[in-house]
Parts: sequence; structure tokens; C-alpha cells
Amino acid sequence: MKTKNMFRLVLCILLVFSLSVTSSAKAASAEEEVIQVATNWIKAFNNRDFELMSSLYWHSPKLSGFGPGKDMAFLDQGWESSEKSFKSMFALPEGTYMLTQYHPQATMLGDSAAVITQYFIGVVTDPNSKKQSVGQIRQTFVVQKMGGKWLIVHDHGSNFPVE
Amino acid sequence: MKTITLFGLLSCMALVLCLYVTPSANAASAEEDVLQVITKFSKAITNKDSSLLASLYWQSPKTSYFGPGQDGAFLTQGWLTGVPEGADIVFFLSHPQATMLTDNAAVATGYITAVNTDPVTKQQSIAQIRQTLVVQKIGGKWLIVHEHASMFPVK
Repeated sequence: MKTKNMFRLVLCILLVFSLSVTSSAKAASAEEEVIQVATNWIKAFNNRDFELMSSLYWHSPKLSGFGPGKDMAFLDQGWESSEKSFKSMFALPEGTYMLTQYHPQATMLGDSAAVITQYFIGVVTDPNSKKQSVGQIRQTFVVQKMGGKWLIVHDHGSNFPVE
Repeated sequence: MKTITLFGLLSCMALVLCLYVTPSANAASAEEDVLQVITKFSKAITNKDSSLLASLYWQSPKTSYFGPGQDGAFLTQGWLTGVPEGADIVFFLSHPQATMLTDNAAVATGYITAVNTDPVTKQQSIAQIRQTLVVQKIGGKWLIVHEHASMFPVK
């Protein structure tokens, strides 16, 4: 009888341990998946990979974003508008814009929504004069899991405040 | 018998109509609730109402914030405790809009014209801010979990 109780106790402990490990492993994996969106975004941007970039966004008129430049000062709405911007940016000579990602971090808002924050250092090379300039950008991506995939539903990129 | 069947049919139609109308009414109300957050946020700053402002934020170390000024340049983590001190700021909110992500998460955006009056010289300045608020329904209340405020880009 004592052995049986002992066996039950060990089973319970194992069950509790398994449940606790599984949920934290799941959370870690969801966070990693979310961070991967930001990493893939940089990869798509630097490699001018439109297909990859397109796969990261919600193709909906409800997609919205504020960009860091003057041409993206107002709220951009809908995938079609973003598609146009990326296509014209990717048509520029290779190396015109190069971004490096810093400190990406994710905050999970339940199982199917999350916020990613990060910094970019951007090097812009003028295609004609080859003159270079450097900019620092703060980026927020709001992502949502749709059809099993994390997609960007809102982004807000802004330059570092200077005053 | 015919009357009973007709009554049954009408009841079914009424039920279908109710079911059809209820989710959109709920969605509209949730959107209004989310819009209220950005409206109250603007009001709290203008009225220097620290308790109203604090009530709008998720009081968690996970709350994060990119501010429009140099003091908020880097990501601040943890919830905001009060309205900006010193300056006399009035916020005018325009074009607030909400995008519902799930039943419990949404994004609110808007433009804010901030009129800042220097308390000593009384000199006024204007700043135009683009505002993103990510909100989450926690304990039945929509709370700000992330904020990104940035000045209108000039170049």
C-alpha cells in the first residue's frame, strides 16, 4: 500500500513537472516565432526580397503603418499601398538602404497577438553621389497569428528624436 | 396547427436575426471602447489627470513605450506613473481609429497636435505627433500595453 502511494506521488510530481515545462516551452517557442518575423523583415529588406517581405504582412485593407520618412508621415493603410512602397524601394540599386537590427523583443498579448520592438541602424547610400548617411530608427511591429502564421498587422517606424 | 407552424417559423427568423445582429453590435462596441482609450489618453494629458492616465495603462513591467521626445527616445519599460511635469501641454486628437485584432487585443492610432506653453515665458510651441496605442482587454478593461509616439518626420 505504501509503495502504491509512493508510486502515485511520483506520478503526480512528474505530471506537474511535465505540464509546467510544456507551457513555458510553448511560450518560448511562440516568442521565438514572433521575433523571427522581425528577423525575416530585416532579411527581406536588405536582400530586396519582395516575396519574403510580402509573406510577412497581412494582405488586408486593415493593415496600417507609420513610416520613419517624410513620404510615410501619414498613416499608410492597406497592403496595396505597402506593396507599392516596397516595390519602389526595392527597385533602387542594391545597397541603397542597409539596416542592422538591435534588441528585438516580443511581448505576447495572448496566444494570437504580440508586439515586437526593436532598433535599426540604417545606412543610406545615395545611388548617384555614393554619399552615405546613417539613421537610427525605433520600430514597433504588431503581429497577429492568422492561419497558423504570424503576420504584421501594424507597424510604426520613427527616427530617434533629436530634441 | 398552421398557426403554430407560422409562429415557430417567425420565432426561428427572429432568433437568426438576433444572432446575426449581436456579433456586429459587440464588435462596434469593442471598437468604441478602444477609441475611448485614445480619447481619454489625450484628455488625461490635457487635464493633467494622473489618475486617469494611470488607469489607462497595464500596470506591468511588460508595458513599453517609445516617446516622441528625446527623453523617451529609448524603449521605456514599465507603466507610466504620471503626466509630463513642468510644461503646460494641451493635446488635440484627430482621426482616431481602431483595428480589432482579437476579442482581447487591438491597435488604436491617431494624430495629436500638442500645444506646449512654457510656464515661465508663456511662449507657445506646437508639435505634431503620430500615436500608436496597442491595447489589451485585461480583467474586462481595455489597457495600454505598448505605446509608440513619434514626431511628424521632416525629412
